[in-house]
Parts: sequence; C-alpha cells; structure tokens
Amino acid sequence: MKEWFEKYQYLKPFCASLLLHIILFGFFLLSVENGSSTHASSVLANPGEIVHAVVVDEGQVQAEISHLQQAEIQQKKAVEDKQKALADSLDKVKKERAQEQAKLEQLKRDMAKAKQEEQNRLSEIQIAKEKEQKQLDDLKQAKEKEKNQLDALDDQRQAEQVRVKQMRQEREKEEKKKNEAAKNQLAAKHKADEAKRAAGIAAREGEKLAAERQGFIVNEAQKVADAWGDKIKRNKNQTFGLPSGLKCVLRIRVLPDGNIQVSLLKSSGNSVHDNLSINAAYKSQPLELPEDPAIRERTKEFDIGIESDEG
Amino acid sequence: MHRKYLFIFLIISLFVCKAQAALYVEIKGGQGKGLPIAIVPFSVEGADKHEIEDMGQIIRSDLENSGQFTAVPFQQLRQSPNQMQAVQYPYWKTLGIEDLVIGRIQKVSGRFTVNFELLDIIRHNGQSTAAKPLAAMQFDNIQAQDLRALAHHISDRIFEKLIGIKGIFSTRIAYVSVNEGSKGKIYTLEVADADGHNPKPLHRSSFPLMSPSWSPDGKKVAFVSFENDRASINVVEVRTAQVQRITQFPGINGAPTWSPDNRTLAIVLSKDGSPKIYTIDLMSKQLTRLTDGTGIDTEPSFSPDGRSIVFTSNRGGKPQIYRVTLGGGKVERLTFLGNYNAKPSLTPDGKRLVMLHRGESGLFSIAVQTLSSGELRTLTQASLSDSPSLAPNGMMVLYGSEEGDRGVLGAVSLDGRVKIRLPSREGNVQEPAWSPFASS
Amino acid sequence: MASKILKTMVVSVKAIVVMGAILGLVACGGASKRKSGSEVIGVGDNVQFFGTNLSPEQEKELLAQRTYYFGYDSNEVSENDTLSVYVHAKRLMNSPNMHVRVEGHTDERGSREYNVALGERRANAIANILMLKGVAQNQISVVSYGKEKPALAGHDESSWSQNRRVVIVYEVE
Repeated sequence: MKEWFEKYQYLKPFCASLLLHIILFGFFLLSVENGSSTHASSVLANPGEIVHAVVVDEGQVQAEISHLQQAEIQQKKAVEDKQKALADSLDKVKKERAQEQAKLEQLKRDMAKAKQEEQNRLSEIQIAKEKEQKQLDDLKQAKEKEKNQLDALDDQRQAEQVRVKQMRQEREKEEKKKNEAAKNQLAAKHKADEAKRAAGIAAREGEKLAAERQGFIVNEAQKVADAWGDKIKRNKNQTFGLPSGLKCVLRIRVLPDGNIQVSLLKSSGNSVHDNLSINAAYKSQPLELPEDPAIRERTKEFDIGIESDEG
Repeated sequence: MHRKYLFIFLIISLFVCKAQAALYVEIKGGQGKGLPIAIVPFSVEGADKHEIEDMGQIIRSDLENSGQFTAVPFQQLRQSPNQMQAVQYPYWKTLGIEDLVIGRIQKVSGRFTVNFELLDIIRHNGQSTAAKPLAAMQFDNIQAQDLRALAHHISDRIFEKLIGIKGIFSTRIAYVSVNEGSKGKIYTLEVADADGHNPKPLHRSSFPLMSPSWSPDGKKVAFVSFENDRASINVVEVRTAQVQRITQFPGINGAPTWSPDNRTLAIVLSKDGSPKIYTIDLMSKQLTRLTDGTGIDTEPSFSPDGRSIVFTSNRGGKPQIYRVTLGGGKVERLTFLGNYNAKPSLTPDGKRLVMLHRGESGLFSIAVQTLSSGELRTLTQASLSDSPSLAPNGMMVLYGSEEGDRGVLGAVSLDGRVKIRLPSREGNVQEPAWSPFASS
Repeated sequence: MASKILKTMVVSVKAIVVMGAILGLVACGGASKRKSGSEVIGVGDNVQFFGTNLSPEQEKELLAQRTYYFGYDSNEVSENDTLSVYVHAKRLMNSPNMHVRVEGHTDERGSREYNVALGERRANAIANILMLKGVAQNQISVVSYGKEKPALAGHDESSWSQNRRVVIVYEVE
C-alpha cells in the first residue's frame, strides 16, 4: 500500500481534486434537479434547506412538456390576437381621423365660398344702394325742375286764357260780321236767282251755306261743351274703393242764367258714383254761356258721360 | 214763293233739331283729395259738455283718418246749427263742402238721447225749406260710457252712405305690447278700439307672445306663447280673458289663424321634421296636414270663401307666397316679383293679396298685388315693416314699424294715399291684428 | 440523468423568454395608453378632435362657450363652433342626467313666424351635431324664438350679427 502510494505521488493531489470535483458536480446536479420541480427563486431564497429529489415519471414529464408547449402556443396566439386587435383599432382611428380631416377641408372650402358669396352680395347691395341714392338725387332735381316748369306753365296758361278770351271776342265779332255779310249775300243771291227758273239751284245754294254754317255751329258748340266738361271734372270729388270702370250719363239742361238742371240719363249701377257725378255738375254752375245765340241754342242741352278712375 | 222759303226753313230747322241731342262730352276721374265735408260740434243739453265725449270730434277724426274725407277744421266754422231748419245753405256752399253733419245730445233722466243728420249741401237750391237729409237717426237711452262707441257707429253710417262701403270705426285691434319690467321684459296681449283708445290687457307673460289672430265672430283671439321656453298655441276669450291651450307639440307651434266658419285653426307645427301647415278642428282636436316637403311652410291665412289657404314657403329657394286648396292639395305659387314675400292675406273680394315684400331696394315694405294681373304696388317706404293686417272692409292695412328705437303701429290705405300712425304708448307695440266687423 | 437535466434547462429558458415577451408587450401597451389623452378612456375612443389633442384648459374654454353665431340667411356652423359643440356633446354623454335647451334666434329683418322657422333651422344644426356625436335625443330640447328675443336692440349689421345666434342652456347642471 505504502509503495503504491509513494510510487504514484503525483496522483495524490490529482485524486483529491477529482474527488472534490465529483462532490461539487454532485451538489450542482442536486441543485439543478431541485430547480426543475420548484421555483428557482425559492432555491435562492433558502440555500440551507435540504432539497428532496423527487423521482419523476418519464411520461409525466413528457405530458408536462407538451402541456407547457401548448400553453406557450396559446399565449403566443393570444398575444398575436391582441396585437392584431390593437393594429385594427389603430387603423380605425387613423381612418376616422382621415375622414374628419377631409370633412374639415370641405368645411373650410364651404366657409371660404360662403364668405366670398357674402362679400359679393354685400358689394352688390352697396352698388344698389348707391344707385338708389343717385336715383333719389336725380328725382329730386327732376322734381324741382318740374315745379319750376309748372309755375311757368301756370303763368303761361293765365296769359293764354286772357288771350283766348280776347281772341274769342274778336272772333265772335268777326263772325257776327261774317254772318251779316253772309246773310246779305244770301238775300242778294236770292234776289238775283229769283229771275232764274231753276228752283233747285237756288235751293242747293241755300243748303250749302246752311250746311257750312251748321258745321261751324256744331264745332263751336262741341268746344263749349268740352270746356264745361273740364269744369265738371275739376269739381268732381273721388273716393276710392269703388269698383273700377263705373260710368254714368247725365243730361244737363242749361238755363239762360247759366244754372243747370241735371237728370240721370243712365246710372252707373253704383249710387255713390252717380251722386258724386251729379254733385260735380251742380258744383260747376253757373256755366259760362257762348255769345253766339245759334251756338247757345245748340248748347241748351247736352249729355255727359262720367267715368270713375282707378280706385 | 213764300211757301218755298217756309219749306226750306222747315227742312233746315229739322236738321238743326235732330243734331241737338248728339252733343256729348266724356270725362274720367276727378281731383283726388277726398270728399270735402264739415262736421258741426254736437250741441249738448242737460249736461256739462266737458263731462262727456266730444262726439263731433270723434266722428271727424274717424272720417279724416279713413283718408276719404277732408273735414273743415272746427275753428273755421262760423255757424253751428244743430237742427236741419237752422242750416243756412248759402253759407255752407261758400265753404265748398259736399256734405254737412249736425247733431245734438240731450240728457234725459240719467241717460242720453243722440240725434244726427247728414245733409247734402250742393244740390240744395236754397229755395225750398229743409231738404230731405241723406241720413237722419236718433238713439235713445244711451249711457255715458257708451257715447264713444255710438260716435264710431255714426261714423260707420256716414261712411257707408257716402262711400258705399262698410266703415271700420267700430272694429277693434289686438296687438302685443312689450315693456321693461324689473326682472326683464313683460309681454302683454292687448285689445283696443280701432283708433287705439280703451286698451285692455288679455294676457301677460314674462315669455314672448306672438301672432294674435281674431276669430270670425270677434269673441276670441288665438296666439302663440313661449311659457317655460316651450312654444304653444292658445286661445283667449276676449270678454273674460280666460285662456285655453290648443297645442304644445315639440318644436314649433305657431301662426294660428281661423277659418271663416269659426271651427278650425290653421297652424304651423314642426313636430314631423320641418315646419308644415296643419288644420286642427277645435272640437275634435283632429289634426290634418296640408303641406309636404322638407322646406319651411308657415304663416297660413284662409281665403274669404274658406276653400284655400295662402301661406309663405321657401320651397322655391326664397320665401314666396303660395296657395293650397283644402281637400285637394294642389299648391300654386302666387308671387314672382321681389326676393322675399311673406305674411300673406287676401282682401274680402279675394282679388288682391297683401303681404310683406322686399324688392331690389332691399327694404321691407307692405305691398298689395292684384292677382289677375300680377301687378304689385308698395304701400310703405319705411325700411323695417312687418305684420300686415287687413281691415275687414279690405280698404286699409295695419302694420308694425320701427320709429327711433320703439315699435309702433301704422295704417295705410290700399291705394297708398293715406298713411296714419296710431297714437303711441310707452314701450313697444307690435304684431297688430284687425278684428272682424263683429267683435265682443 | 443528463437528458433530464438538459430538458429542464431548455424548458426553463423557454419560460423565461415567453415571460419576457409578455412583460414587454404590457409595457408597450401602457405607453400607448398614456398618449391618447389626459383622462382615462378606453383604447379606441370615438371622440375625434380634427387630428388635434385638446388640453384640459382648451376643453374648459370651449365648454364655456354657449353662444354660436351665424351669417345672414344661413344655418352653417363654423369649424371652431363645431369643436365647442363636440366638447358639450362629450359632457352630455358622460352625464346622461344633464339636459340642454338649444335656443335659435334671428335678426329683426323679415316676418316673425318665418324667422321662427329660420331660428329653428339654426338650433337644429347645433342639436344635430350633438346627436351625431351620440348625445341621446331626450337630453336635448329645441326652441326657436325667431326675432322675439334679440341680444342687441340696434337696427344695423353690428346688432343684427349679434342676434343671429343659437344658445345652449343647461337646464340641469
């Protein structure tokens, strides 16, 4: 024994170290075996504890491994699903944001358009306003001008009336003269023609002159009646609300003093209009009578149609 | 030979006599200043004249405000007859008037007897004794507080005799008065005489009141209330001021207006989406919808024959006036001039349409359109007018306007000639509604 | 015995890797939560703010706005006003017992009842934004006063522009 020992002296430390290694390795193995059946942390937390190794069945381990593998797969799947859901909702969020953005753009465009239209309208209103102002100014000027013209016209008319009266008087004088002359002529003609046997020629000559005279009387009588009609119109009051287009006809008898007698020849169907018309006639008396008795004779009676204006 | 001359003369005279009847003149129109008349202050016997109404003044204001008459001012009268026999026609002829009104008030055992006569001045030839009056009436047993109403009644009689159309002097108006209270605005629905006298409140609220509308029998007024910030349609009885709610649907309850047979209200509801016209039977409360579409239909008004309704609609883009026949549903557009036409109503003869109108000038005015010709005439020139309401005789329009900072009421005749501002009160007055002839 | 050791070693390494991955994902999730706003809402919240995120101060300011103005004859709601209405919508959805009254108004031009209809259009424009965002209909009532309750009494555009408005009034706060 001693010899063996001394012979392999270098083996002594070798064996010792090998033994130590084996011991250490054994500890290591045991600790690892412990770790497979309990938490690694518990091993670290209780280093002094004696670990009991458990004999594990090969099949069980296999089952556990596959079980764990399944769980791992499920977990992975869950994670993937969650990731996918997240991605989807993020997408949705992005989409809705894009939509809103588009809506915002549209809103902005509409607003701009409305603003422009409003501005255009405001400027149009401004232009219309200015136009109206100018029109009002023009109107004012025109009104003033018209007033001056009317005043001038009034003066003219008065002067005209005086002149007309004069002319009428002169004309009536002339006519008187003419009539005399005509009468004389007629008498002379009759005397001359007496000699002639053609009663027809004499009659025709007389008729022609009578007709000329008659025509003259008719024209003048109409003028007189027209003037009386104007006077009645100036005196006719109006109400409004009457149906439009009412017309009555009055027969006016002119008395020698210029006063009148009025009778309703044809009613307008509306008593208010009739009464206003009759009153207008009465308000116009006394009427100015013409000097020529023939014309006066002709204007002894006349009819007047009176129509209502737009109410 | 003499025979020949006689023969010729006869022929000539025949010719002359035949032409006599052919003298004919025609005139049209006249001067447009209204009928010149004079009203003599009524004489008073048996009472102190300062204690009772000045009936002559009331009659004079009525007739002048109608725009149809020009009355000689009282201070210019040099005579004051109160009986027909006392009327000296030559004097009155010098005033250039057509007619004369005289009257007398006598107090007899606590009540009053009132007489008046309407005399024609023009045709009287001054020779015969008192001519037949155009009108002569006596009223017995009148109480002092009724003298004002009697004066209006006399104005109606005179108006009808001389103008041929029913007078509106005994009608009433309803309107909304807005005043500042201690805690905010106070809204009052009031009725008053047509000349603005005798105001009487019917309903008061701190929430807005709108759209008063008279029933055809003159006994009730429909209106819109916003009590508790909710719109509702209500009817108040004029005599008792009792209020009854008719509708309170969600959304708009507005623009109530009565049918001519007093049984139905046309109203506006937006409960089905947008504002549409409905009718509601006041007994059964049954609703019938009259218009369709997604636009705005509002401000209905019955035609005088009750068979159609005119209303405002923006179905064409801008507010214009349309007509729908009841029971048929045919809708027809009525206005084509201007870019805004609203608040329509038809005259009693159904021929003309009164409305709020805006033309190229951009100003809102009251306008009248003849339906047959489409011709339109604006009646007011104020820049802010609204709420036109026709008188029951179709001759004048009441409307709301702004004067300075206040809402006031105005009236204008349909020919645009006469413009009146009703007597102003404190606060704002708006949304007038003219009563029918019968009113309680 | 060696194979057993090897197997357990492999299993534990896999476990470590898996746990690490889970932790990492949770951490990432937590980070995205913090990005979407200051209050706690679920991930995927449906209130959009035009791509911007509002601070509490901004939201408070928008909530304080109750009046929205309109152009003449228009019921278009401006972009800024829409944002304010969104904030009101969110508030109403978070408190179902709250109720608002949306009041429509116009300026004084034109007829009264037609203006009531115009005012209702404006009020509906605002109410529709609230409902589109999810506010229940029974939390909103709409009333139009037309031109009956002006904010300013003047007769020119400076007053009229202030009268064309819709006001949100909280009836139960």
